[in-house]
Amino acid sequence: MTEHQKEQLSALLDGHFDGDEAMHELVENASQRERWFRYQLTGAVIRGEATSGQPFDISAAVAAQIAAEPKHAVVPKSSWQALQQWLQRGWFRPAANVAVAAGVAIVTIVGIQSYQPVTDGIVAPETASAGAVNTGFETRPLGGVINPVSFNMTNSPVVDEQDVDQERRLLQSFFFDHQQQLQLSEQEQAEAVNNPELLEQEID
Amino acid sequence: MHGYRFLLACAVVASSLICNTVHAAVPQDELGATELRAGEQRALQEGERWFNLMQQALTEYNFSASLVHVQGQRIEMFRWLHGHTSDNEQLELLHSLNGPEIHIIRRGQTVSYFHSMSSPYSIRANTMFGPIPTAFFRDFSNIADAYNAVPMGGARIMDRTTVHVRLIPKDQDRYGYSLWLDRESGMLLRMLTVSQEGEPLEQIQLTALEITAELNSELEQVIELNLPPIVDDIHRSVNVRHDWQTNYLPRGFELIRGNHHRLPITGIAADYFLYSDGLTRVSVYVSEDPEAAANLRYSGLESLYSHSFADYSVTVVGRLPMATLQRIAMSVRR
Repeated sequence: MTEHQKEQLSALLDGHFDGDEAMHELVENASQRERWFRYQLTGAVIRGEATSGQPFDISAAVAAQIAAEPKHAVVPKSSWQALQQWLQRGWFRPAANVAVAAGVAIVTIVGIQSYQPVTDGIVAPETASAGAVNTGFETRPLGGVINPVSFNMTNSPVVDEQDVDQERRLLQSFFFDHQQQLQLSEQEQAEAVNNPELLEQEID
Repeated sequence: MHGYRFLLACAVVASSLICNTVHAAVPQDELGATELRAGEQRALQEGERWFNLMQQALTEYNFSASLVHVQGQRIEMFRWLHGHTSDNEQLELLHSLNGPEIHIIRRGQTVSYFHSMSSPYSIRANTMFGPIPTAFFRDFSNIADAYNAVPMGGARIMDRTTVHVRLIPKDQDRYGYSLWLDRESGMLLRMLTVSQEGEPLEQIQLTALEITAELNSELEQVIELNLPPIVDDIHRSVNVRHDWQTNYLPRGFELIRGNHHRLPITGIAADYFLYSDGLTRVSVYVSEDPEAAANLRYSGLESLYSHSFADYSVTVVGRLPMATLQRIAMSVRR
């Protein structure tokens, strides 16, 4: 791994990277994956969050998910770029890109977890109206509701690491979906107010 | 639990005393029940008035603010701008200053979410989905079934004189809130979410606030910004598969969304119900997929409780105490 790549990885962990390709490159590289894992662990240890026996490395699973993710490019790149340009035009930015440790906990759980939209097999994607995005968007709970090391699973006598992984996956699945549904319900509410007839239909 | 009642009683007594200063001759121990009730009523009306002043401040002022959000060990910092265009369209921006870069931008009814590590998207909504509960941007009547607003006196926050208003749940099965509102502007300066035991679960504190007559010039640039498209809510059109009976719901919770969809990551198919008391919301998932069959517990500000029945499993997620989530989950019947 070159110094440049290390810098990139550090920036990525800090959330100062927006390129999907850079992300792919970084995650595909196995030695980088290992480093990624160590950075995370270091951060967790610094914050006193790490406990022994916790399988920390979810990057393999994440890589698989990213590989499986269709290049759906549903969102025009321009809006992010526009924002970036706008930001560079005199937006106040914090002085330094501080430490790797800072954002890692959030990154681990809510940041890296790219997942592909699941089609229900009920609604054909084509039915999505033109110009609209599929619901496969990712919600980013502010504050990262899921802390990887604070599972409270006292009622589930888990011994197997695979079971722990499976439970973590389940938790993430429910928490992500909950966040997503909350946001969509805001939209449903807003549209119901705009169009009361729609609301009537919903209730039927 | 007792803390709440005690404080409510104090507020009532205090406000009764204030309101009764004109009848100064009446000794405190002779205050009749009717007078106490009248005092209580006045306190609640006053609390409601303050809540609505806050709602107006949050939606009508042009302001630039910084805030910190503390949740457990985590501290986040945000810059927060709000204003009105000359066409009276609301503009708002929330920008995270710690950790990964997050921008939430609202232009009228379009709220866009930009995260440095995922694709941006927009939601059609009247409020941002950020650290401040969306209920605070709406009228008190939306939460009046489940909460009382009780003014508790004042405190000095950000070198300003504030009114402390508590949102006390009418039933002790959910969290309460403390708000500190600027006495002059009604603006929210500090907020606390508290457990039933009175333990703080999260805190928001403004660290800077500037209220201006004119729209912030930085915010003006949002008018020109090319926002990502609105997500298409495909879940919404798919009805639930079974008529599940949720036999227990806390007071004031109503169904606001129901559908059948697959979850991200696992692909589990579930019937989905979202209930709201106007302030907090709880998701109920009922799935027949064996993969969902687990008895999970997760405690945090957002908690999760799941239970497997013989041929289906129920998962309940939301900002409610574990005991409440459990009671809801256990009440779901085919």
